[in-house]
This record gives sequence, C-alpha cells and structure tokens, in this order.
Amino acid sequence: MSPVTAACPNCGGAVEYRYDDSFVRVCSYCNAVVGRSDRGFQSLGRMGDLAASASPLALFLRGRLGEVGFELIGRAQIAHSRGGGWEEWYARFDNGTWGWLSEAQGRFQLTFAAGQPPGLPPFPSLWPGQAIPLELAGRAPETFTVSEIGEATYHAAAGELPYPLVPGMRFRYADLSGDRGSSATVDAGVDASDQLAFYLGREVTLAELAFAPAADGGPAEHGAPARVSAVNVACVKCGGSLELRAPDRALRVTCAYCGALLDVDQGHLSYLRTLDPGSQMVKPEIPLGSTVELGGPALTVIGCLRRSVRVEGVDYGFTEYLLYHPEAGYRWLVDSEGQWNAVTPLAAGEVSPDPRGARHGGRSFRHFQSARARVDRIFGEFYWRVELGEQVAMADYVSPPFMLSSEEGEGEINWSLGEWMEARELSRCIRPPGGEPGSIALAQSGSVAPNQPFRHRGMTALAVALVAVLLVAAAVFHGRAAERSVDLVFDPPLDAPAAPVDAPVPPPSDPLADSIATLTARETTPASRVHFSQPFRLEAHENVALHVNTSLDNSWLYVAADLVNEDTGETDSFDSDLESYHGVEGGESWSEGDSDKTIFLGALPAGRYALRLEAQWPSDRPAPTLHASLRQGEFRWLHLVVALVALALIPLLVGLSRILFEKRRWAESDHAWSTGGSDE
Amino acid sequence: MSERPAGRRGGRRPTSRLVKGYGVFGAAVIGLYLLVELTGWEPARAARGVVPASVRQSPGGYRSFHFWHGGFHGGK
Repeated sequence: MSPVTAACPNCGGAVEYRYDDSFVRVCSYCNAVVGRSDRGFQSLGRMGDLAASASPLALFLRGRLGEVGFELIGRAQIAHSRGGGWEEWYARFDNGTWGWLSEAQGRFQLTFAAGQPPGLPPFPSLWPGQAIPLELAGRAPETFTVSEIGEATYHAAAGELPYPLVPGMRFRYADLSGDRGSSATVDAGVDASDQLAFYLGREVTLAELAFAPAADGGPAEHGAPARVSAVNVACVKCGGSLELRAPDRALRVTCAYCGALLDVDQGHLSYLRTLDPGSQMVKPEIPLGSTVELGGPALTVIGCLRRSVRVEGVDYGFTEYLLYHPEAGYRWLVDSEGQWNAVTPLAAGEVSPDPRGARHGGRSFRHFQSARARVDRIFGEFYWRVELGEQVAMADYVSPPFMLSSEEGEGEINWSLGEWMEARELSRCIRPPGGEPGSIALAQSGSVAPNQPFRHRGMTALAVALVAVLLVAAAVFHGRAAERSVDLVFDPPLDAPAAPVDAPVPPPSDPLADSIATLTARETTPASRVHFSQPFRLEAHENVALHVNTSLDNSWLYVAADLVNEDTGETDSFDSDLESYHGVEGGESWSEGDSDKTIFLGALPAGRYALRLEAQWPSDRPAPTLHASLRQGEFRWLHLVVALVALALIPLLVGLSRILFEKRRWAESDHAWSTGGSDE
Repeated sequence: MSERPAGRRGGRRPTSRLVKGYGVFGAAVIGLYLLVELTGWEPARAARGVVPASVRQSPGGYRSFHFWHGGFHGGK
C-alpha cells in the first residue's frame, strides 16, 4: 500500500490518502472535504476551522492497544445541539480495522463499528436512564444504560476519514454505558427512517494507548489547531479582564466586575444578561483560580455554582466548585453548609439498580433523598450553557463515605460519586492564587452529612477480635485449671464432743494418715471446733480456693482458716461468715443468707502446707455439718467477666453514639428514623 | 469493572484516636488477664504471720492449741 496524492478540487493543494480504505481527506489548506470514488476526486464541501483545543492528541500520533498498533489519521470536532461538543479521532489499526476515539471532558472512549445487536430498541423509543440488556456476539450479556440522547453537527475535521463526511451534516446519537465496563454509541440520521449505526467499545486511558510521536517526524498538518492554555479576554459589557482557564471548552463565563453572564463561542464572548449584582458580591469561599490536589494532577477551580433544593417549603443551599485539568477533565467539590465532598463523574453503566437504591463498585447505596435542584448563583466559567434557575432532578444514594448522585435533565442523566472529606483535610489540599496550601480555613459543619462516615468505624471489628483472643486465652486457662486442680476434702465432724478448755493437745499420731484432728473447743459460747488437715503440697503461681458448705438452719457459722507452711512456719490467715435464715411473716415465706461460700486467695509460695480450720456457731443451736475442700489453680470466671466487661464497655458506648449519629444522619433524608446506613 | 468505588482513596480513612486507644486498652486488658491467670493473683490477701520456732519445736508443733487465737466474730 502506498500513499495516493491528488490535487484538491477546491484549491489545488496536495491531498494525500495514506490508506486505501479511507473515504475522504480534508484538505489541509482550504478545509475542503475531498472524497474519492471510481469517478475521481470531488469536493463534498468545506468544513470550518478546527477550534483551538487542549487535547493531548494530535494527527498521525501512533499508539498501541495491546499487541496491535494504530495511527490517528483523522479528526472531527462535533458540536452538540445544546452547546459544547466533543472530538473524535479516527484510529487506523495495523490489522485493517478502524476505531473511533472520542474525547470529551478529559475522558476517552474507543469504539469500533459493530452490527446492530438484537434487542436494541428503535432509536425514538430510547430515553435517558433506560436499561437495555443486550446479547453481543462473542461477549457475555451486558446491560447498557442510556446516559445521553442528543443531536449533533460536524463542525470541523482534518486528516482522513473512513466514511463520507458531509460538512454541516446533522445526526442523532445515544450514548450507552454498560455494567461490565463497555460503552456504546447509537448513531442515527435526523430522519426517523435513517439507518442505525452501532459502535461498541470501552473507556480507555492515554497510558493504555501507549502513544508515541509519529515516526515520520510528527504532524506536518497545516492548519493544526494551537494548543490552548488559559487566555485573558475582555468582558464585552464592562471591559474587565477575564481569564478563561479552559477556553476550548468554556460555553459560559461570568464577569467578576460587572456580574455579566457571557456566552463563549470558540473564545469569543457575547453578552447575555447581568446577574443580580447583590448576589454576585458574595464571593466563593474557595477563590476561582485556586488549585486543588486530590491525589491526581492539580485541578484548577474554574467555576462555582450556588444551587438549592426545596424540601417541604424550605430551601437548602449548597455550593459546587467546578475543577478542571486538561487531562483529568472535570471534578467537583461540593460544600453542603460545611459538609464537603470530592465528586468524580461516573459513566451511567457503572451504576446499577439495587434493592436499597443503587449499586456501584461492589457497594450497595441506599436512597437518601430526591429533589429538584435549582441554580441560584453563577461564578466563573462552565462547559455547558448554564442558566440561572436551571433545574435538574437529583437523587442521592449513600454508602458512607461515598454518595452516588444522579442528575437528570433534558436528554441526559449524569451520575457522580462523591467522597466525604473533612474540611480541615480538604483545606490542606487547596492552594489559593498566590497563597500557600492550607491557607484557606474551610468551615466544618457540626451536623451529620448524608455520607459522613462514623468517626470511630472499626471499633466493632476490633472489639470482636479482642474478645475472641480473650476467650481463646480463657479456654486455655479453663482446660489447664481442670487438669491441675487439687481437691482436698476436709469434712470435720463438728458435732463431736468438745474437748475441755485448755486441755493438752495430743500430737497427731501420723500427720499423713490423720487427715482430721479434733483439738479442742475453747469456749462453750459460742460453740467452737478446730481441725487440722493432713499436710499437702501447694504449687506456686496458682490461686487457692477454699469451698465451704454447711447445713445451717436459722443459724450462723464463722470459719477461720490458716494455711501453715510446714517448711517456713509462715501462716496465711483468712476467715468468713456464713448464715442462713428463713421463716414466715404475714403469710409470706422468706429466706436470706447462704450456706455455701468460696474464699479465693492469691498464689502462695510452693511448699508443704497444712490447713487449720476453726468453726464457731451459736451454742444454743445444734452443731451444723461442715464440708470444706481446698483446691488450687481454680478457673476464675470472675476475672473473665471483669475482662469482658472492660473490653465491652467502650464499644457499647461507641455503639450508642453510633445509633444517635445514624438518627441524625437519616433525620434529613426522605427516610427519617431509619438507621440502615453502614460504613463498615 | 472495579469492585471498589473509584473514590479518591477507595473509602479508606484513618482510624480514629479512640479506636487506636481502645486497641491499646484492649491489649492491656488481655495482657493483664494473662498476667493474673499465670501468676494466680487474687485481689483478696490473707494475713501473713509466722509460727514461732518455739511453737514449731514444741510437742504438737503448730497444732498446739495455745498458739492460735480464736474468738467470736459475729453472726445473728
């Protein structure tokens, strides 16, 4: 294949067809669209001049998509009937296919001509927001959402094009966005009988397309538009100097001096009307021209809208700052009375219906509020023909810290994803003109924003993890205690005859065999008995528990115990009272006290011990039975309960705070008193 | 399609001081619990005394009646 060169039928300049299958070539000298056919070359008419553009692309750039290289050999600028427009680049792939690379608001869609899929409704029956499941050849079924329907006109073109472009040709289009990341465009003529064309592809990034300068020295295109940056223009009303920061995309700008609202057409201004001077005196909290860094390239604040919604007769205002970067496109910062959101536009297909409201990115978003929003004030420049009083139907869906918002206007539905930001954090991201980052102190509302995350998120998960660790440890100790407990049953016969006071004490005949030694009762009132156990061994680092069980009947029992270390002579003394009473009074039976008790002692030094147990009871009462047992290494449920309470107290308080927080959040919604939001 | 919302930071936010503090507190509670269980510590302490050597060496040793104090301690 070799290039074909011909003379332009209009001006005689050389026009070159690089590819056999390109249909028309736009003359670089006179903008004539030169078509070729069997009968030779003929002019199809003249296009307008290419408008200045901030596009990072240029004719004859080479790129690569996967393993297949391509070259941008054609370009068209298309004007939207409602103002604004987009660019299309025609990519000739090395495998002979053609791709359409459309560029709008810094985003790129690469599509290829495809056969009209079955199930695609007739063009007139399409409507914004319509979900259309399509069976596409060789692909999984995908549901597409109609994001925009409009009419457009070819305004200017350059290079070679694969179809017979007629200057000024109008056509209708519908943009579709798929739930599996695809995008599609349906083109139709202005007449209902015109045939549909279907293009299918997806959004791509410049990095993905791996552009490199053309091998033949780059674009040698005459009349190529200049790259634009910010330009200064004079207000046609007052002569004041205005800076257009995105002049290739601006369609409206306001004059900061006289409050005029100006229409922008290719950088040329025309006066529309003067906005209310009083309202225009209220300057935006973030000055126009400030730069904002939100994790990508620094975006410039180029416009500010004050909008409001009316709910039950009350107007609720919010401020939207339009941010722009030539490659990143447009973003928004939204200030809802001191609650801030960083907002990114979404393709309609990235949002799908959900029982709770909407779904995006694996998250379920719950419907929060629907209302009509109205534009009240305008500052700066905008990429659409914004008007005072302009209204759209808004719906918000929340999944903190995110908020999905839809805005439905004439012929289009736009989705965006907002992420809540703390005012202090956002302040650090903003550099005002001539200032330092963080020098603007943004106000933070004390209210709860629809998508404000609960501050102490993660508390529940952490508490569960800590409790789990504690329970595992407790289970280990419980098992260990069950293995190591020693049970020294100590069952002294309290009703044995009392020995005389001050009677000599016979030594135990065999301390190991004689587990119980009745010694004496020192007094007759109260009655008393003393018993010594046989020696036993206690281990170090294990608690000691004395369980006492008596058969009290309207009586009391005092127990004094001493653990005697036979090796060192050290004693550890402790005591306890037990009492149990019952009766009938006024026909009602009552009881109080307890005849069982456990006394816990901390670990003692390891060694050989004996237990001395002294019991006292009223001398006028029969001697109760006493069963005492000594155990060591007993599992302490009390310690576990104390630890659990300590771990649970803070999460319980935080949980209570969370309930109040959610009530405050949903009180401002269409679903008051609901607490269905969740950010964990 | 991304499984994570294409937000600025994908929804990740710094952990609050209270949650961090609770993490430290919780770890301390568990540490204290382990310490208590491993050492056999109890809040109730017994009164510590010593049986004199003379008593220990006397007939009957500490089992002698004379060494131990007794007495009435209460009850209804």
